[in-house]
Amino acid sequence: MRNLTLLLTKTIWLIVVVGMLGLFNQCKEPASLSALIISDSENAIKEDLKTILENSGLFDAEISKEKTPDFAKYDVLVLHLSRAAWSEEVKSKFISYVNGGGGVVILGASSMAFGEWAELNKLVGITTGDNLSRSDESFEFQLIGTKEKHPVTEGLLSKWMHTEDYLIFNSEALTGNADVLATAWADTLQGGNGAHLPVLFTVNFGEGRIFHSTLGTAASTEKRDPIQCVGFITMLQRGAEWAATGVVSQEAPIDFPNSVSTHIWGDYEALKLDEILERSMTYKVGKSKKYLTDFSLRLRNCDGKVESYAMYEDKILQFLESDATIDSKKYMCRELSWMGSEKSISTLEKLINDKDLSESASYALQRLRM
Amino acid sequence: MKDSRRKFIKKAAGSAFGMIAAPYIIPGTALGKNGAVAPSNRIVMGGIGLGSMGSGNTRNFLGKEEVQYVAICDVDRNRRGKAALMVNGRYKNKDCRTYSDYREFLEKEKLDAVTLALPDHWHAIVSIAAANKGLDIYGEKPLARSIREARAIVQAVEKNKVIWQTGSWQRSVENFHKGAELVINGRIGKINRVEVGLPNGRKPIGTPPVQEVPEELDWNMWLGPAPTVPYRGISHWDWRWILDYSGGQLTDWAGHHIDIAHWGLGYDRTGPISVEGEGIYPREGIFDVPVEYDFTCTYKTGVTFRVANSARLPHGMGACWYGDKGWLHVDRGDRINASDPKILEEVIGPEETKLYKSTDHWQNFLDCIKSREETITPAEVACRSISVGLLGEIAMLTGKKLAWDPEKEVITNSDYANRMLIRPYKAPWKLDMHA
Repeated sequence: MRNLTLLLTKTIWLIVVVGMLGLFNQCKEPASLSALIISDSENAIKEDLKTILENSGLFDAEISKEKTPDFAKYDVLVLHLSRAAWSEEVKSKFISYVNGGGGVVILGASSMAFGEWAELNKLVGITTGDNLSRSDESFEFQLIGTKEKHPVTEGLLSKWMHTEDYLIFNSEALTGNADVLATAWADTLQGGNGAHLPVLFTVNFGEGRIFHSTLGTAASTEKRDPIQCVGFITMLQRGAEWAATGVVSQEAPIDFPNSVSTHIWGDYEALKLDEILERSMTYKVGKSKKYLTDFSLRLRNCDGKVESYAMYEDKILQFLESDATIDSKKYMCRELSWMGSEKSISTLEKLINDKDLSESASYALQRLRM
Repeated sequence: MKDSRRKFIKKAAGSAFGMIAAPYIIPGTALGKNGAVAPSNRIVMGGIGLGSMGSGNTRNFLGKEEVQYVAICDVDRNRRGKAALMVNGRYKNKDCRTYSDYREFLEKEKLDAVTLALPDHWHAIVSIAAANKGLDIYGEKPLARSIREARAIVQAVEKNKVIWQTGSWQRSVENFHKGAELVINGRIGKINRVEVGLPNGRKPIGTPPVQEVPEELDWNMWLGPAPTVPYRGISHWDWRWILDYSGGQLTDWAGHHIDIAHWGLGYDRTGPISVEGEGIYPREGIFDVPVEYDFTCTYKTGVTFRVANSARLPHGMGACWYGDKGWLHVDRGDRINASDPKILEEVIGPEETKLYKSTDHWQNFLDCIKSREETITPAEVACRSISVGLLGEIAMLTGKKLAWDPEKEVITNSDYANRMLIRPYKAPWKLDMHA
């Protein structure tokens, strides 16, 4: 009897382990969705869009080189166009792709690319087509979420700053099938009409799902920050997944821009902790402190376990012994003051004799000795 | 404790309460002929910190016949000059003495009472020093920059048996009193949640360059216990946007609407048992207080307080209590609204709970100086109001849910977060703890 129980227990364990391995494998599966980028922008920008999609871990992205691509092969099409000379045949293939349940992401002012094409205007959700215009200058502007629950924006901050970019005007003339996710204020000082304009919106067309983001038009090889914006990247990745599948499985990045601060990923993915620390080493008050505040964000969002804080503590102690700037070390002493341990005390006691860091070390010691 | 304070009769210096300054008035005999108060019988006052709040408070007290202002103290010479002009203008003389160092001010002046209106990082040191001198104190909110400092002030006030009034003047305004009294008497039923809306955060400004310290300002003394930094043109007023000196709009206003929310629930001398929430902090620039904040406190009764910048709340600014029979909202501008307007017409019967009534916050302080009774916002009450704001700050800065013991005043689930109960001081400044 006892053996039988043991056997059963072992079998159950085996099933659990195999099941977990299966799950693990699922997580580790290579990108399962296919994306086609249709763009007439500079090659480097096309490559960047491909990188963004692939960095989500969900997509195999391809840059279209054909005049009449086989849309049906892809889960999602990403349009980033200034002018599209599509033949009637391509147009009709495109419409049937969407009607049949295909996903589309429309970036920037791509909807202008087709001129007066009534069917497409309906598809992209904008009735004005050719009448779209943009701000004269690029500038930072705030996105304001208008919908509490949509898979693309759920879990993200509802107000966030976009890096310097053109704001696309006249987008308020939406068709009835469009659902606005976020707007931006078109300031008259920037040539706007003093109204909130849709910037992120979705459209259902036939069986298909379309995600539209008017962001990213100012991007060029010399000025990539409009598409390096973590907001742009996140919206493209999540919008593409939603257009392809109807759901979003991606987690919200903790360093998503907020209502007052923009944030970019230079290489289209979040920095690793060590990269953040390395870039923090040159900080001086008055220069950008984004890497330091990025570090604080990680700390704040960590799981709060002793071993996690211990890992961060080790990193800070190494930092304090490195040749990082005084200002960056002062910042790190502040963080250490609350999340350090006994282990930090000897390093801080040594710093008490350092004329530049004595006060900061004392600050941390007062809290650690509480 | 309370009884002994009530029975306490202020004695002259040299008595058993040697630490307490001699009263320059004798209650009951203070009024002279035709209602005028002879200078020798007036409450002798001085002020430390003469910026916008300090000047406002001074102006209010100068309007009281029973007060004689004799000295002011500020680290900014221009402010000293302006304040002295105001005081001298009132008495048509040139007698107001001026000081730049509060220690010299407290040492030399023989006062009954003092008004304090300094940046938050200075509150504890100066309040405790003034209490130890036996002075009755009208102190600006928030009580302190940290929870340990707030408790130390309460202890100093109680140990020295001085009168404390907090600048939480909303308690002396009719709509707030009426709203809190209706709520505490169950007119919207059993309360299950409260929303407290405070101002939206200040937008960051980048980091201004280092500048020469203005000749009139004692910058080192302005910094006091806060970390040494070069002068960048940020001192008066704008200290509110830097964590070393303030917690931003959240802590600036905790002593108003959180204070009122507590009042309506009878939570004046307790605190939440858990706190969690999220703050949005600027990534760049010298201002580092949250620009948005939103946290929820749970009390042991099960009542929750959601404290947030007003843009996030349906009623915006103010305190809004939600009970099982409706809601009631109060805000500045005499605003008082309820789910059913009839609630506001309800009369509180003679057997029901009557909240402390004051119609003039500054007069209430003067009356209590004479009666030795507690003011409408004593230090303990202020300590509990700011503790909610400060616990919210700690929850947001650590990104963790905190369990709080309102009796022992410790965070029970995180040694890390507990360290934020203090804000370290730069040498040689020390917090004088009475515990």
